[in-house]
Amino acid sequence: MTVETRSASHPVRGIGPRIARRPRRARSRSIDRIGDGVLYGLCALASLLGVGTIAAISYQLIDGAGLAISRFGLGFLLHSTWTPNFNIFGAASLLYGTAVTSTGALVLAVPIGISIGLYLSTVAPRRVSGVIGPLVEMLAAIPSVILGFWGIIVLAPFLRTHLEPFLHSTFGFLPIFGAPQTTGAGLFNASLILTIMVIPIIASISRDLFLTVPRELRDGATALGATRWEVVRGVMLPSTGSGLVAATFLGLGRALGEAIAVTQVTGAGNAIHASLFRTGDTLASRIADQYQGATTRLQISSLFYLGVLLLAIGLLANLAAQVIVRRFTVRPAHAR
Amino acid sequence: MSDPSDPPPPRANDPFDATGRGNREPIDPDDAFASELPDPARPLTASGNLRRRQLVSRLVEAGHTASALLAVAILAIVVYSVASRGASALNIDFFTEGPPALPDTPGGGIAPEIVGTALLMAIATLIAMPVGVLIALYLTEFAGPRLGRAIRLALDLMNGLPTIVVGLFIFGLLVVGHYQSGFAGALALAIIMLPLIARATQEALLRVPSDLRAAADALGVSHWRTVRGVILPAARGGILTATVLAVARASGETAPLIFTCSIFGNAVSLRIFGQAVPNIPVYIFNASEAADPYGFARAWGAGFVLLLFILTTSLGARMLVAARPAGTRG
Amino acid sequence: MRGPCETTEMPEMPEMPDPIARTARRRVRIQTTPLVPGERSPIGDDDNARGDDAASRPAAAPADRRGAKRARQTIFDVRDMSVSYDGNRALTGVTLQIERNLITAIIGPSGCGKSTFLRSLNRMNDSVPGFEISGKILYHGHDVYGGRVDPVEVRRRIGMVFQRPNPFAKSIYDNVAWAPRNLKLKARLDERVERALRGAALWDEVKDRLHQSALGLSGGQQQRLCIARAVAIEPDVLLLD
Repeated sequence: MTVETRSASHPVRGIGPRIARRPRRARSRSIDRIGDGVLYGLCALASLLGVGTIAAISYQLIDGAGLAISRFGLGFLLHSTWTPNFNIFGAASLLYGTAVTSTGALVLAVPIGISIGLYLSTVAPRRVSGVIGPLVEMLAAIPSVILGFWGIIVLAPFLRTHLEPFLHSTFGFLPIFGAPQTTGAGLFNASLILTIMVIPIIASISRDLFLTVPRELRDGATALGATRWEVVRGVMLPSTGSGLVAATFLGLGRALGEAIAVTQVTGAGNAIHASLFRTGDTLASRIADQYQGATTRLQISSLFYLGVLLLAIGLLANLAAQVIVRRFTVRPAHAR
Repeated sequence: MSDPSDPPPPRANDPFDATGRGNREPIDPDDAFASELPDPARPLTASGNLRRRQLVSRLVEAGHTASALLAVAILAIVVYSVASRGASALNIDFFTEGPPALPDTPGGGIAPEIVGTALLMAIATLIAMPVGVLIALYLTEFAGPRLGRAIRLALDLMNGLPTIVVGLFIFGLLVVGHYQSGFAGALALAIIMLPLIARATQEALLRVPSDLRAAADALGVSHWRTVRGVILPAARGGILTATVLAVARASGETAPLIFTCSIFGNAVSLRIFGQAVPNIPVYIFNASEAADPYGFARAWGAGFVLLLFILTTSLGARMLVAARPAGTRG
Repeated sequence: MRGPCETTEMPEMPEMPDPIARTARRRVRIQTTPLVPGERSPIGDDDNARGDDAASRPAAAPADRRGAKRARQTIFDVRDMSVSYDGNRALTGVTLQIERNLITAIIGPSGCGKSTFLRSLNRMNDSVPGFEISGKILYHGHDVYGGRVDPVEVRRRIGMVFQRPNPFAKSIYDNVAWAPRNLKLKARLDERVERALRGAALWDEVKDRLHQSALGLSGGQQQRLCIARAVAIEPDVLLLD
């Protein structure tokens, strides 16, 4: 900011007023114009970079997958052989693994997450909620590599010796609970790990949604002699319905995209089995699994092909969530 | 005049005619609805089906509480598992030496990995923070409503990208045909940090009181000087918090580094071009896939250090937010 | 009970920071209108203040079964009731009785505690943080805030309609039928809904579109819908904020 000073009493004669009257304004105007232009240019460039990144990623992946696409075409999605030695690659078992683990994770995480959201917004006293809420969010902060490591060292033995035999003996008539395997690694372990990752996402979003239900709506239901659960069921769940669906899609995106933890616990199997206790792989985990072993150009290209599929599904899930949020819900003040 | 004690003659379409029968008689005691009503003067304890409904409500709320306790229990179990296995590996050597050269050897440490992770995070922050702040500035200062919505959508989508895909992208861009490099890894991490910083910075900028901006305008200050001298300093706290949270998130990411910065040796390295830099997440990942029990021990130690770092920075950022003056907390 | 039209001055409030608010909190008027038609009302319908509370609107509460001219029975006996929110006093030392089959109106400037008083009668303030109440509120002789009292039961018998319409995002029919379904009053539900809507003077306007969303109604219609849904379960008392 320029401040012009008049120095009538300047000790050196003849200099003071003339210095003060130097045309600073004209020069600072051109600096300002340049500065404003630079600011705009930098900001616009940054935004272009930001938005263009998704396009760049898509282009790079499709380009890298070119060889595999031309070799396998859409049959890539239908065959499940993955034998580097023979240069034959197929993604069917991976698509299956992705579908199974993501569905399993959502089936567990969505009810539990919404339940936690209801706890934090309607059941817990404010001070308790202020402690439990951050703790649940801490669950999301655990790095996936640590969770995967825990999954294979701590969870797998527990599954192998206790949970899987129990499920098999009690619910073994369901094909998903087949005979337990020797390692405790498999799609079931992966589903549980993914559940742990998705729960905090659903819980935080649903808690925020429930807190924005207008007080008058809740009061109206309460004044009709309804119990707290009836108020939730009749008013709060219906009014947040679309937001909860969006949260589910975000959780799905998270589950789809998890590569590291899943590859640590899933045993790198390659066939499609009905039982969850068998080993398998997902799109993301297969990519991560091959990072040290991919040598031939076709194999690397097949990894990119997997990446294209994963990117497409991941973008779809996230896009669905964002569209639902923008079209159907009233966003809370601190928009996500 | 009619006797005032007679009921007034019925009016057509009388809105207060509850019985619909065109008169204002009191309700017939034989009317089925009226006889359902129990005596209102009885005590105010649960009557009728209320006891059962209250039981259902309390059971459901107990279920909610159980879910919350389950989540906290899982957190406790995982943290305890990591801490109990990791703490025993921590000693001075752990922080000053590198992993042993030969497999199946006890001792050693993860000093190169700690240095490497710090280096990668520093470079990633150096890339992501300016770009993120500039994007946020564009959103608040320049972009129209439609363009702003499009950019925000792109940022939200970027936030949800599978991180392995980001790693593949940089792999294809910089590594294929060349070598892995610390710079490539840092760039992948920067892409992951960018949407977080941009969105949170945008929210911080929106919280700057408009009076400040108006005052600067009234003084004839140019736009860029206002941004540099008034708006950015006022949003400084929010930008800092955003960066800290982004660092906490990205420091635990392994997938972006798997293809870009995963083949490294056992020595401290500060060279980010031409070779991969050792880092903690990939070290843990490699160790977890190998069959070396001593490697496991070091991996637990590394995991403990990483988890401690991430949890404390997340908590720290939270406290930064809570310490802000009430009006600016957002 | 005192006479039908009387001014009641609230006792002097403790020092309030805002002198305007202090003045506003000073005066509350209580008027009553007999509910049962035929009895001469000292106050014509037009005279009832329609200011910022609609408490003077006659409600379709169940009429006295045993004839129009009975001795007055006290329903609410409020004794020295005081309310504060987080230490800030909202009401002090309120004592009054409310009698059966009378429309009792509480009139006063905005912010003087009318809503607080009403909401305290049917335990709607329980969920407000920092709410503290002292004194006694006796409903048919039972302490509303007593130890073994179930607040949900209180609200089933003492219904409430709010200042601004708050219909559920359901159909008109489902809005009215929601509470009866909860209470398992499912027999002749259609009739119950119709009676309630007639009582709220809304039936003729909505009878052809019962299954359309309630949010499509005008503001006045929505408020009548809220009245209908409150009377559908036939509460003993209806509070109108």
